[in-house]
Amino acid sequence: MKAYYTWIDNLNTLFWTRVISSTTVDVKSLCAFRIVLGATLLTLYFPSFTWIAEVPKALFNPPIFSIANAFDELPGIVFFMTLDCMILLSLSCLTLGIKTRISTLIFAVLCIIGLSFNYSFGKIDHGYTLFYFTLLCMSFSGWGTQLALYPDKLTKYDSTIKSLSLLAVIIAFGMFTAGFSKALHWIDFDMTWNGFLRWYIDSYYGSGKKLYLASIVELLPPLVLEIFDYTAVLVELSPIFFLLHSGKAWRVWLMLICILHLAIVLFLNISFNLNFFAYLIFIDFSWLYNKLINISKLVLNTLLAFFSLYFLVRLYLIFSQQQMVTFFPGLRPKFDLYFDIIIWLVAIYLIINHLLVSKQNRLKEA
Amino acid sequence: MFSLRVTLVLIVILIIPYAIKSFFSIEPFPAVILPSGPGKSLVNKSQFEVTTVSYLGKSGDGRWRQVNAQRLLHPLHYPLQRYILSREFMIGDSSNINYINYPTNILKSKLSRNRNNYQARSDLKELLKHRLYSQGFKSSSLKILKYKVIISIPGGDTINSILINESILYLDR
Repeated sequence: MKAYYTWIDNLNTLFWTRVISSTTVDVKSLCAFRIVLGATLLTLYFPSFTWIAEVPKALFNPPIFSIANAFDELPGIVFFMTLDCMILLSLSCLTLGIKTRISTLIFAVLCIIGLSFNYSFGKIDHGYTLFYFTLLCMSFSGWGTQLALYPDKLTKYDSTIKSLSLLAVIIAFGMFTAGFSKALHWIDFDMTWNGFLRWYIDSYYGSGKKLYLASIVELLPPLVLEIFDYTAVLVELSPIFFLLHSGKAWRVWLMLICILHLAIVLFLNISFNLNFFAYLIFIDFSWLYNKLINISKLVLNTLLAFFSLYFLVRLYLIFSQQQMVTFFPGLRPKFDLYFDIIIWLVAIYLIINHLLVSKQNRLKEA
Repeated sequence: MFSLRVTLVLIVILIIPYAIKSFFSIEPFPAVILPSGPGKSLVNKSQFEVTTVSYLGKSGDGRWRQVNAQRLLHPLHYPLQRYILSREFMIGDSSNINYINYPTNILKSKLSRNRNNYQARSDLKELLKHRLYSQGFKSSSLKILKYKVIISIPGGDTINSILINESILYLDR
């Protein structure tokens, strides 16, 4: 029994050693990426839930296993305004680096609470799953220790390598949940049936998503459609193998998934834009850190003044209950999709750049 | 490095919600579950069936006319509206359908709480009535028509539209 336990324990050590070696990123890079993430959310994807208070209470039908199910009825406007204000405050603190550890944690929890209510009208959208798990993992990564107005002090709970390796395993498992049932049905070696086509017909004819390359799908031969099916399954089921192989292989998989997301936007007009943050956190942003650390005091103060003004505008929008830029692509589908194409192209470029720079560095060391 | 105990806890945290979704068709939130959609379609399919719901209100001349459903359910965005509309706002007859034969639905009915109380339903009816009037309708009756629409592939032209259900919601009652 003891020998068996030791064997399992060694296997566990080997697993995490491989994962850690594949996911290592300098904490300086995370600190720079934190600012990119915060600024993007504040300007483009600010999560707002005040609108939920306007929904009639009779439509409130939360899932059984959901935070919202603890509520007897849909909370009122004060609850959702408070939620939005706290989201704005915690996201601002995360971006500026004020008590970053706790503000990241609070921001993630508040988003989960807000989304629990958002998913209480009949549909759960798992498109944001990787995003809020990224935030939860990064809370204890030490990404608030530098480039911060009030830097966090490192505690025994902070570990960059543990945060990154945990996030990588969560991404791999999440992809498994998406790919496993597809594999059972789509890998059929039968060209008369197709899984990708089902998604396409539902979105093109059912939901009227006809932008970009959607109209050419019907011109594709069955063999190409079959290849689409197998490619999607392979990409979704393979991250754990890339992760255990090497850091380079893990980044190659990240590039593949970004290409898959780009193809989904182009052919199906379906958006998974916030996954961008979960993938790019594994890319080296030390170059951005070096630029940000050398910003002059005048530029920094000007940026802070703009930030304060922007914060007040956001606050005004919350209290005046005006429509804000939100998580929900339904409010502005075309803008989201155009922006998605840019996002995924940038992501692919950054990953390729990371791989090339790493190769050059290895050659220099050799 | 994570200890074996932490790894086991992580496995449990990751697998339990996925197992609940896979075996009981109940989606927990939050959970590490990504959208799958394993359905398939015939490659040489020439038709596509979709169920659409149409809403009619009574205008001043007593005739039924199309209601703007999106304005009825503002601020819910379109993907959510589709679910609400397909259940007749949860105040129509179809919300009372009893799927007792299915084990997962027995479990769901035992675990879920009934929040659709009289006051909430009255408020919703009042709101719908107000929004009907604001669209120029003169009656508080709302006719709900469900169609099976057959669309040609490629092209997307409607080949046939079959009325499968018709009901009227009386928002005054």
